[in-house]
Amino acid sequence: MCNFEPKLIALIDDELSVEEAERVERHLSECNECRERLARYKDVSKGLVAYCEVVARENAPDKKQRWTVPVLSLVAAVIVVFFLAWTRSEKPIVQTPEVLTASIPAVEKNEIKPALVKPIRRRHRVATKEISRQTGNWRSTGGAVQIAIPADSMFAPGAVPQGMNFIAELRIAPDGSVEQVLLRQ
Amino acid sequence: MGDDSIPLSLPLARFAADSTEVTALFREQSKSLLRYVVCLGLSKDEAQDIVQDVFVSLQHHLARGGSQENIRGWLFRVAHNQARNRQKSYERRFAEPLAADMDFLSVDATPEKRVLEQEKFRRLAVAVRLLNDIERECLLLRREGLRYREIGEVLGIATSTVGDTVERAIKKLAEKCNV
Repeated sequence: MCNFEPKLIALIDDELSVEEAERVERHLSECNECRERLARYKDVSKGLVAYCEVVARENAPDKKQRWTVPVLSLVAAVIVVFFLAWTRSEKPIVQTPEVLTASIPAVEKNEIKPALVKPIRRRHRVATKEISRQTGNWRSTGGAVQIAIPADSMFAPGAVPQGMNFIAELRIAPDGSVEQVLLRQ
Repeated sequence: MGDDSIPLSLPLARFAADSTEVTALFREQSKSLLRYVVCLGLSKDEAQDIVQDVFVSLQHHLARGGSQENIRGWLFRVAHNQARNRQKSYERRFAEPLAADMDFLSVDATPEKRVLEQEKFRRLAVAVRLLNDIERECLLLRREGLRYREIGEVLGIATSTVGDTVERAIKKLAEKCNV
């Protein structure tokens, strides 16, 4: 490799001192290889200019990505609000005596208060009814995007009855914005 | 390399922190900034947002009596940082540039030459994507006419490192394009 090769690109970019540039120019008059390299590097630089122009001109926003994040965030927020409203309408979950015994080692079995031995109430059947009542008037629209959202991916394990899932129906306007969000089970 | 450049340092009297000077600077540099941000991988909409924010920030910077040395470098540094912050939020993807759009070729290019140039352009586009972030950013800023020292200030690296990085990146592209 020629000793002047590392300076060729700096010469193109006018980043050499006057003396250095003169030395490189003198070398170029004597070295075919460096002249060819210089021509190649100039060619690449021109190609980069064209590349940037094409990218700047033809880069269009990814329409799907444009609305995916905000819409999913909206759907997640709706689900959280809905779930909070639903859980507030129910009494707090009570734990089985076995669990309490493990978490409160100082409590003797015969000292457990009666309220703590109540069985877990089955809520999913009631929840299904409530959701049905709330979503009964919603109509599915043609051309909408449906997103299946497993409840397990949204909430901590055990926070929702097993097998519960949500489906978010998004009606998308021609300009890519979301016209309507329908949530159903 | 760039065609929308302004002098490195401007007389202090030119900047009076009023909107007129900032507007003039906007006209001079916004296209270049926009192109740089888009080539980093952001959409045109986001790039426009960033460029507008940059000039609003410039106005505040000048109103606070901020340094007026190398305003161009300042603009690119702020734009670069904002672009990088947005890119961290979610993955950026953009369509491969259409190699069919070869209007930068001379009008009398033969069909054979067009095919060759198109292939060379396609390889260049692929090779640019294979560069690492610093190499790509150095080349993009170089394309916008920034000097190595300015590039170093934008990216937070030494001027000598910029020179080495530019040299390495250009050689990589030349090799991959078989130029």
